[in-house]
Parts: sequence; C-alpha cells; structure tokens
Amino acid sequence: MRRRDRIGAWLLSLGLAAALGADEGPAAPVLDAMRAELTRSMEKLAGEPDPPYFLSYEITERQTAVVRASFGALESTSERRTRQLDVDLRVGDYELDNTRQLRGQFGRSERSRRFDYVAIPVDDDPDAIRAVLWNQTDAEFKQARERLTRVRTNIQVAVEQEDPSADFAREPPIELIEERVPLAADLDAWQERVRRYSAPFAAHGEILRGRATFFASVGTRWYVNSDGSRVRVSEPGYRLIVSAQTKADDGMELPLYRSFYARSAAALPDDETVLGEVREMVANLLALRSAPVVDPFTGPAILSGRASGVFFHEVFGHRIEGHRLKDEADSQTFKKLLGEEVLPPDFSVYFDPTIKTRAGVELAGHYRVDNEGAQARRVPVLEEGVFKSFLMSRDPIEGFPKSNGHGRREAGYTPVARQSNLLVEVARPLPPDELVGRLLEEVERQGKPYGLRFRDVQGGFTLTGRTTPNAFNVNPLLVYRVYPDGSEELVRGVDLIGTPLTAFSKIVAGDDEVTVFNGTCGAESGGVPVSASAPSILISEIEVQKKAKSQDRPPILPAPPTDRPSEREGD
Amino acid sequence: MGPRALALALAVVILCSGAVRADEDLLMAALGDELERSIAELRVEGLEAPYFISYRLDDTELLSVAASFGSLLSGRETRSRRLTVEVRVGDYELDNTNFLTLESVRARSGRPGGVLPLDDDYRELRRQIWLATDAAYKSALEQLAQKKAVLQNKSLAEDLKDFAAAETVEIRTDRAPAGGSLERVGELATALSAIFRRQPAVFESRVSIAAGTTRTWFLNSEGTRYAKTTPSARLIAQASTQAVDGIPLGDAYVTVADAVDELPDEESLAAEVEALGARLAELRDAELLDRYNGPVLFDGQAAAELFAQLFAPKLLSRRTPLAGDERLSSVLSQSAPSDFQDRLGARVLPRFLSLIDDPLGSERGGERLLGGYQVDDQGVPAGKVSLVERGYLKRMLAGRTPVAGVESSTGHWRGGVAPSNLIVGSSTTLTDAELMAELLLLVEDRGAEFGIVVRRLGSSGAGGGRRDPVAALFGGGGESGAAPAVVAYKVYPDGREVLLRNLEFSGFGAATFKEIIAVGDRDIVYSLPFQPAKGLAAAFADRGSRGGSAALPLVTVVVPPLLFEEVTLKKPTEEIPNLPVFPHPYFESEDG
Repeated sequence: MRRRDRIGAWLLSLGLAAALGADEGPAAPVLDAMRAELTRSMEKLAGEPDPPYFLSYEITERQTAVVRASFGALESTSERRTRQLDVDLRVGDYELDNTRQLRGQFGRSERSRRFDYVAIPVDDDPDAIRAVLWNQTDAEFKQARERLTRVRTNIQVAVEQEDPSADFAREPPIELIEERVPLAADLDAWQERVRRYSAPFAAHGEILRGRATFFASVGTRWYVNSDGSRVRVSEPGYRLIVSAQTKADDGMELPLYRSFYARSAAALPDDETVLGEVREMVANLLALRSAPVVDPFTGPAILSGRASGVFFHEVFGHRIEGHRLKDEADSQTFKKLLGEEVLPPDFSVYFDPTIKTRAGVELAGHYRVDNEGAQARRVPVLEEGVFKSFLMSRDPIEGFPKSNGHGRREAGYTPVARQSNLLVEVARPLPPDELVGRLLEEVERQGKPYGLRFRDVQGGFTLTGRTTPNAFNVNPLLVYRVYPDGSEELVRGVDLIGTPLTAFSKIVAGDDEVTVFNGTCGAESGGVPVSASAPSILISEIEVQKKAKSQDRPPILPAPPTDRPSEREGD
Repeated sequence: MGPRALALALAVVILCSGAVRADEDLLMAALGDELERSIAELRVEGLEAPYFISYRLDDTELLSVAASFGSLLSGRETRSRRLTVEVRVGDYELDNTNFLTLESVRARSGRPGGVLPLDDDYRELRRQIWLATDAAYKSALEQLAQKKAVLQNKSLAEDLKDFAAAETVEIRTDRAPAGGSLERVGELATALSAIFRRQPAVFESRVSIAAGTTRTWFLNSEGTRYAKTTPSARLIAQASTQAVDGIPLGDAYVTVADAVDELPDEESLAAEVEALGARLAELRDAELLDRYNGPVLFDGQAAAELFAQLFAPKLLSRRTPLAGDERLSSVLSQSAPSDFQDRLGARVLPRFLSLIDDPLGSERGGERLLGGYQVDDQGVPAGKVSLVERGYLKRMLAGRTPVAGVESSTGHWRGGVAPSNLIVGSSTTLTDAELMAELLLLVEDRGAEFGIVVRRLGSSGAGGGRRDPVAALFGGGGESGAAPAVVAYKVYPDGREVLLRNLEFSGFGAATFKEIIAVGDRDIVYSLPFQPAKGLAAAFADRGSRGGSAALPLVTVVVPPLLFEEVTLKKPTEEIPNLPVFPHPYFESEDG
C-alpha cells in the first residue's frame, strides 16, 4: 500500500508545473502575453526602415511520458514537459520578403534547415514569457532585415526566377481556442503492461531484441499573428510500439514492428489483442530466420493497405509538397502533370487532416489548424486518376496562390508543405481474393515463376532532388512469394525500389480492405505525425533489390541460463 | 509481494528519494556470472579468445532544472542503467586497442554496451551483458586483425604496450547521494532566476541546477572489482547583455558540490546572483582597451580558471592511435597531442612552484576538495602524484593506456584522463600588498602607465559564456585557449583601479606559465566540472554514450594568485551586433 503513495508522489512531482497552468480558461494568460508582446513589437518596429509586415509567434508545449521494457524487464521511464518558441517575422511585403530563395546559393535549404531551440517557461508567467519573446523578436528582426538586403541584391544579379510567385500568401485570421488536454495515462499500469508485452520474446534465445514502448504525448500549441489570429489547440497522441529482432544464420538482421496509435491511452488495444500480435510476431520472427532469401526480381506484386499507404506517401506524397516546385534544385516530377491522368480512373487520392478515423483506426495526421495559422482542410490531390493539386503552405507557387492548410513543422523548424492523412480510394474495388486472382493472371501473362505479396512494411524514404537519382525505397518486413497455384511462402532480404512515374504507371487495381499506417514523417521541417491508408493494390511490375545486410554472425555463445545459480563456483 | 512487484516499487522509489539501493548482490552476480562464462567459453574457432574483459555498470539518477526570469523552463528527473563492456584480444603488448580506422570513425555507435533494465531481473541483465560482450568481442577481433594487417607494412614509431598491467584490488566505497528533490531545486532555481527581475541591464539570464548520483559496479577478468558512489551537484547562473557600444557581455556564477545540501545556502546564492547582475550592469559602460602588453595579475576565480583551462589539460597523457588508413594517418599526425608528453623532465613552471595531484585529499585550509576518489573507473586505486617539482615536469596523469614515459596508470581514468585535486605549492610567496607592489614595479620598469589585474574569467563550467549553460555543463571546457577575461581592472601606480571589459587573450598558453614572476600567499580553492582527455580512439568510441556518469567529473584546483610578466590582451575582433531595437517589456512597463 505504501507503494501506491510513493507513485502518487512521483506523479505529482512531474505534474507540478502542469497543475500551475492546467486551465488557462477564458483568461488565456499565454495567449494574452503573446498578443501583448506581438502588438508591442509591431508598434515599436513600425518606425524602423523595413518594418515587419507580418509577425507570428507559436509556442509549442510537449508533455511526454515514455515507458520502455525489454524482454519483460523495465528499462526506462521518463517524463518531461518543455515549451519552445517559433517566430516568423517577415520584412518586405507579400510579394518579396526576406524568405525568398537566394538563387545560386544554398537558398531555401539554408532557411528551412535552420533549427532553433528557444525555450519558453512552462508556468504561464506572462513577464517571463514576454522576456523571451522580446529577445527573440529582436534577433529575428535583425536577421530578417539583413537577409532582405541579400535577397534584393540576389534578384538583381541572378537569372529570372522560373516561378514568379509571391513569397507569402494572405490567410484570413482564425480564432480557435480549444481546451487544454491533460496527459492522461496511468504510468504505473503501463510499466506492468510493457513488461507483459515484451516478456514473451524472452522464451526464445534466437530473438535478440524484444521491446515494448509506451509513448504518451500531448502537444499544445499557442499561436498568434499580426493578422489577428489566436489559436490554442491541444493534440494528444498515444502509441504503443512493440519491436523485436532476430538474426538469420547468414547474419541478416530481421526486425519486426507492431505499432498502435490512438488519441487516448484508453483507446489503445487491450492485452489480449496486443499479446495476440506479439505471439504472431514471435512466430513470424522464427519463420523469417529460416525463410529463403529473395534474389533481385521484377514482376507483379500485391501491396497490403499499409504497404500501399507508405508507397503512395513516398512515391507521390513527397513529390506534391508545393514548396518543392519553387525550389530550383528539386526534380519537380509532377509540375507539368496537372490535369493529366497519372493513375487508372478508379483511383483517387486525398489529403485530409480534418478526419480522425478510417477503417476503425484513429489517424495520426489529424489537426485543425496548421503551423501557419491556416485552417486544416481536405485536399483532393488526385481525382479519378487525374492529378489536381499540390499540398500548400503559405508559400505560393505558380497556379496555387493560397495555402490549403498543410504548412507544418516540428517545433524549432520553418514550416513547409507537408503531408497529413493520405487516403487512397478505389472507386470499384475488387474483393481481396479476386485481387490475388489478378496477381496470378499477371504472373502467368509475364511468364514469372511467382508474384510477391508485401504484407507489412517498416517505412520508406525517397529522394526528390535533381542531383541524385529520383528514386524511392520501401522497406518491407513481411514479404511472401505467391506461386501460380496460389500457395504463399515467406521470404526475406529485399527492399521495394523504383522511380516514381514508372511505378505509378504500373498500378492496376485495388481491393476493399483498407488498412492504416500511422507514423512520423521526417523532412526539412522536422518530424510530423502523418498517416497513410489505402486498400491493397496490385502493381503489374515492381522491382526489389537486396537489403543491406549485417556481416556479423549470430551470437557465439548461446543465451545465458535464465536462472541465477544458487551458489556460484569459486565464490 | 512477489519479486516483480518489489522491483517495480524499487524503480519508482529511487526516483522519489534517491535513498533506496538496487539489489547489489544480484547485479554483481549477473556481471560476474557472465564474465566467468565469457572468459571460459567465448571464442571463435581458430581465433583468439579475449585476454581481458571488464564490465562497468553505472546506475545514474539525475535531476536537472532550469529557470529564467522567475519562471521554470524545464525540470527533469531520470534514472538509467548503462553497461560499458571492454573486451580485449591479443595480449598486453599488442591488442585491438589504440587503433583507429575510418569504419570506426564512421560507425554510428561506438563503445559496446548499452542500456540495462532498471528492474533487478537477473535473466534480462545477463541477456544484455551477453549480447554486449558478444558484440564487443567480434569488433575486437576485427580491429586486431586489421591492426595486425597494418603492422605488416608499418612499424610503430614508439615501442609501447597497448595495456598496462595493474594490481588486482577489491574496493568498496560509499558516499551519500547528492540528494535534493525536483520540487526543491526547481523552487531554488526559480527564486534565484527571479533576481533578474530587478536587473534591467541584463537582457537574458538563466539559472540551472543539476544534481545526480552514479553508483558504479565494476569487475574485470584480472580479479579487480569495486563498487563506488559518485554524487555531484552543480548550479549555474548565467546572464548576458550588451555593452553600450553593442559588444556582447556575458558572465556566469558556477558552483559545484557533492550534494545539493552542500551548495551554498539560498541567501549566499542570492547574493552571488545579485552580484552577477550588478557586475554586468557595471561592465556595460566600462572602458574598452584596444590592446595591452604587460604584466597581469590573476586573482581569485581568474587564477583558478586560468590554471584549469590552460595548464591542467596539458598534464593528461593521451595516446595517439595507430591509423588504419592513410587519410586518417595524416589527420592524426596533424592533431597529435602537442602536450607535455614530449617534455617530461623539462621545466614547465618557475623553480619556486611545484604541483601535485591528490585524489585522497579532502580538505585544504578548511575548504573542501571535491575532486577526490578512492578508485578510478578502470579499478586502479587512487594515489597522490607529484607532477611538477621545483618547476620541472616529473610525471603525467594516466590511465591504463601507456604513452612514452608514462607506462603505468596513475589511477586517473574518469571517463578519460582527468586530474582530481590539483594543488600548486610555492617556496616563495608574497603578501597581497607585496604582490601588487611587484606588479607596479613591472609597470614602472617598462615605463607603462598601468598594469592589469584579472579577477574573473569566463567559466569553463558554463561554457565560457556559450549560450546554453545546460549543454555546456555536459560539454565541458576546451583547450582552445583561455576564455575571455570578464572582470579586469587597470591598476595605476597610485593604487587607483579602473574597470575594463571585453578583454581577450592573445598567444597565451601553458608555455606562458613558465614565466610566472611571483605568486601570492593565499590558497584559492576552486572546484569545477572538467572535460577529461580521452585520446582520439576512445573519443570516437565514446560517441553517443550519453549516460553512465553523464556529468563530467569534478576537479578542484588550489592555486595562489599568479603574476605574469607579459600577457597580451585585446578587444574582440568579431562584428558588433546592434543594441536591441526596443526595450525589454518588463523594464519598459516598470519605467512607464
């Protein structure tokens, strides 16, 4: 019983600061302090040469708790709460300001790669918050003015810009004050749960990593800008990630992951579901150790919903992030394809941050306001096979002068157009077994010995620059060969690779089994939560290459005995 | 209560009170059992078995808070257990270490080891120790094979063993933990940071406190084992502003202790923070010198920091590794330590000065020495070392990696070679009045108008004025010259003193210490976090190992006021930022 008391005290200490500012209520001290300092800054700077025409402050609080266990034993527990500040101060005007890419130099990259960590006090004290805002505004103003001078010189000396769009889009002011959501998770119980979920791996000496991690986070953002916007939103996210790894006798590392996401801890799956998944992971890990290694192969394949989701995220999503079209170092794959048919007319793709669930799963890419004070909205990017729109931040490009609510960042970075919830829809889906039937037809038609089926993936990456091959790579976890008789065999050791337009042109059909991949997408503006959900799709030709492989053989000695010897020899 | 439940209670309680112990027998059993098995059985057919294995388990509790302008910025309490494994193949003469390849430079993670569970779970502890040992052994085999391949074509410039023998010891020491609670240090930092609400001349300020206790269990295959506790508490108050002409000014107050309760009391701390703000305010319109050549007297914090920043790092032996690649070889030859290693026996201080390092000392003239310990990280017992005798360099501080002239450990490996308590002794001293008279005599001698007294330098414990004191706390000071003088005065022959600001040193290094003219008769006892010297191979191997004794080791220096005949000081040469365009909101509203 004393144990309970101690835990209580512990949680209290972590909740210390939270309690002080838990309910900002109608008084909204943080927003008021931001508003007051913003107004003062605009007034004080108005008389300066090149005064700011736009100023915004965003304060992001991250309250997180992480509980991790390995093979049934608790490894770490940590909690933290921090706030940091992002300032967007622009001098010049909407047409031409200090953020313009300096051509012939590492222009845009220079701006978007910048990472600043400006700490803001966590206890809502307006004077302490304003002191930091003042100091940072002063620094940003000086930098902005200096950069505007360089921009003005650069446009005189560099060749005409390909895309003559303005530097910043107007956006109507927005007022949205949400309740602050507390971080709600019983960490005591979660310590027990992650122990329980990682324990089954301990029964197998061949499994070299077996972890379960519970992440709880609430991101609260306060945003004000000189257009009069006032925003306070609270975005909770709870994840359970089970990860395990074994090693084949040839040294190949074979990882598997299972992750669950929800907007409340209570909505995460129960013990029975998780432990069922863990048992399946154990079985798959052991099967993978003895699975045959696939040789490089081209041929037809079915990608499960999660795999197709990641495929679309890499192949398509990253190439329609609007700001890239202004970047003269980017390959701009889809720039000239507006209004063109790039997929079969059955297929539509949407980015929709406003929806919260799909196929019964909560989506990590949900938000109501983006990081530039623009309202989140649904963007049909590809309808009936025809490419319709880019994802837009407030950085306009030719033909797209406005934001469509996708200006996103991780705190500390500069926002650019980023993905949200990617939704692939198929107008006339096939039943799953019919999709397999179509796969077998393709196998026969192409005279291949088998097709491939990608059941689960870990993630992927893509390169969109001009100086590197314009390629993507999806890292599968579970891949099966499907033989002409319909039998399936687990294989290992391949990555799915290709170039975007070719891959797109080979998409044939989809089924009606939508599954969801929730993840964190990393790019120039940091890591942002996203989802990608899709039905399984059939691709008439994909290419796989050998996975990079560790050269280390499995451990030399067997796993140590599990019991502590009652008396050690020689002691 | 079953064993599971007990373990849980333990993990949580330790975060609360810091007073409860891990099951030490169980930890040592897990380490010992796997060590025994590895030494007996770990071997790849046809290749060498390990000749040496050591395990170190660091169980660290750390609390850290930062506050600014009377408001909490962050507060964090962590506990972690990290394992460090060392596996050596070959023999003491020639093994896999002291060798650097491009692959090891590129490798993402270096030194084998990793996170161990907080639960006292024998099975899981052994599993992790097993896997870390396996990885360490394989990489040791590869390193040795590559090293031998390189040595077929090259011979070593110096005939040095790779690993020094050391006596086998069993040591168990115990010290009280650092103590403190997150609430208490949070309140303290917040209260101290609120003092800057009365300091309109300060533009930016921060107070941070970090306190932690590391319990270490170590054993090696030679039979040495130890258990020790390393507590520390550090407080940094840092403030910055700009002088009236825009040149940035920063200063910090740093204090360290071995427990939160051993830090100065709140009243004294408040007075120090208040003084910090007042100093900056005064410095804003202090005089700026273009350039100065002449005698300089370092007193108080400035004498201790100067010694710790410039002289102490030269006393630490560092092995230059054999390069596994031509390109590395040229890099290594350029960055080879130009230390005192080549100057053993040479004179490095004036004849009237001597220097010892005394890890077993605990007190000097009533003031505590905080750098001490009984046994170093490699299990070598600590002992007093006479480093400089009557001006001549006799010995360097070392771990178990031999360098020319220093072929056995002096027991100074603390995450790298670091001093403990460095104590300068002098056969001739001058009183304060005599020292000042001596300074003025030197001034007169060269027909100069005035001399300079430096009373504060940028603190190495606060990154010498770098922006983030918390990061600096764990990043430590460098060897790239001394931090700028923060508080310095012109002293005129009539005794008049005029405050100066923004003075940087030019061409001042350890070699300059030989030219010390005279020293005072007071002991300045000053403790600071110190960046150990690792040598390149170890530095690369240690990348990414955040944990263990996360905090830098504490070192105490005891020095007298130091009078140098000739020092060059000049104003900063960087571009000068403008002053803030509009005033601080808090002080503006107060004025209006």
